[in-house]
Amino acid sequence: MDWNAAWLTCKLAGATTAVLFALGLPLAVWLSRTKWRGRFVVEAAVALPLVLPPTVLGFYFLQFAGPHGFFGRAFERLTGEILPFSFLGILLASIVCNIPFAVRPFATALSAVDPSLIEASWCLGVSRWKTFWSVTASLAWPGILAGIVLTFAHTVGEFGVVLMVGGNLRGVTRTLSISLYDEVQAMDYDRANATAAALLIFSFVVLGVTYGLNQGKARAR
Amino acid sequence: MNELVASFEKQFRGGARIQAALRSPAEGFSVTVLFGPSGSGKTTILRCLAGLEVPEQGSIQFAGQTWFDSGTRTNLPPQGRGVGYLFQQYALFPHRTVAQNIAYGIVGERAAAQARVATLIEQFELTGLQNRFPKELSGGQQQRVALARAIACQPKLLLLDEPLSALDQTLRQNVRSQLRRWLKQCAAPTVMVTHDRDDAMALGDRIVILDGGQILQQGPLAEVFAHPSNETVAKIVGVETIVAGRIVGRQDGVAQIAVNAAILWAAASDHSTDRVLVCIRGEDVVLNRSAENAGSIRNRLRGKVVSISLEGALARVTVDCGLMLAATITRPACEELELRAGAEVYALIKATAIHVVPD
Repeated sequence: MDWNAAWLTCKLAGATTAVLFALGLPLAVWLSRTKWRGRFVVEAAVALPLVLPPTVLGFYFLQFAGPHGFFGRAFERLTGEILPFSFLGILLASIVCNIPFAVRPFATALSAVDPSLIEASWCLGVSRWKTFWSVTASLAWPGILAGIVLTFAHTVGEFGVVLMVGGNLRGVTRTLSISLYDEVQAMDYDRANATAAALLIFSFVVLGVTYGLNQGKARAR
Repeated sequence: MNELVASFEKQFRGGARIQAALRSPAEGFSVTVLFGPSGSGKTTILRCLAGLEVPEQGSIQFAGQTWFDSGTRTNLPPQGRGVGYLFQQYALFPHRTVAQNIAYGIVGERAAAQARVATLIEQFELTGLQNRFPKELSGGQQQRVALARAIACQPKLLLLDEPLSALDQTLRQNVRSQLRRWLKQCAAPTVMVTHDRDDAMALGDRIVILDGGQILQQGPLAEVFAHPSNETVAKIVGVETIVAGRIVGRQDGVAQIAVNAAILWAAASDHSTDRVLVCIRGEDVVLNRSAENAGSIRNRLRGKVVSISLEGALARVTVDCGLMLAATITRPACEELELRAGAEVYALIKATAIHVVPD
């Protein structure tokens, strides 16, 4: 197995998850509480990466953030670097790809919290911020954890968009799933086997732990 | 100055519109009941007072402090109002124990907080349950925890949303008598929502009658129940007999009223109109086999029993004596008089128990 690619994959998945936790949680809070009529548009946009082929996402990302795109040119002028074929490029693309895997479980878990518990906390003089952590998030944590795990696992398995945006540069953009593709192309089946098995076992263990935690939590309730 | 003065309007997107203008004491022990059928806007008013709902227009002042004013765009959040709110389903934190629930809002020194929690646990008969979680408690215990939690931070105003509705009937009667004692102990002015007449009568000092988002009448409880200002209020407060009549004569402050074939005497102050509605409460009607020994009772109507319905210890008897009259008597009294459909009885009503409102 390509350990360099394994480390890069972990780095990408960790960074994607951290960013989506920080940005996705406030978005999920808003989605779970708002009574705005246009909410469905935001919900549809959040769910879009679930049904869109990653290549479509990658294509539009290149149009937008590539050297000729609006965002890409602004970025180049500012930093002197380009986004395609860079780690930051695949990170941004992978964040967009993974929005539904974080935001949807977060929002589902948050909206399952009885609003009168939150109001009770406010009436007892506890601030909105403290109420969020001591009531809302405390009760919704299995769902929030599920979102975090799903995002991490899904980033590890991401292929299409990483290849479209990042290409295949060793140590920069070559993740495990891309190195597997390379190994098969090179007919190096022994190495391919090791990589595939590692990804399979990792995914199964992660999902097993998540469902196990949720089941234990459900029984404790 | 030491009053809660609220006057506001709240419009919901669905079309419901709540208009409230009410006053209630803001100091010392008193219970103001918001009373009306479901959907009349009682809970919305309570939520506006707590700051959980924001009215479109108007103002809320509590003891001189502005909680809400649409003119100056003032809106104090619930955290700043210092109210204790008892939710209909109690809203206990499921992931916290009884002691942790009660301690939740208490600020300040740890030792003082613990002492306060210990006092409340004893006062609300929760000893031994400190470390239980809400789902391990009975309905009555949950209610006591919720009440203890609401008064733990010494609120300036207590707001109770249907405090007894989640309890079963037997428990409800026990708690009803205790609740007033607890409220008295915590000495905070209380505004309570209920649609149950017995709860209102047992717990309230003042009452605000609501229907369809409007306040119809407010005042001391006994006064509102005895003198409803119009037919709708009379129906809401549970006056069983409401019939149209015409004043045909007046003598020394006593009016003679013709109702269908019957003539009633009622202590009625002057009204501008002769067309009136006669309101008679079921418990003010005495049934007897004869009209003798009726003493000072002015109205002695002969009639026939139409129907009898038994409700617990009470019997509701409908008598046709020219007008359909509903009488509430005890079950033993009903058996003693050997009442059954078709039996002849006299209905005796004091002139002072008949309340007259303009039609």
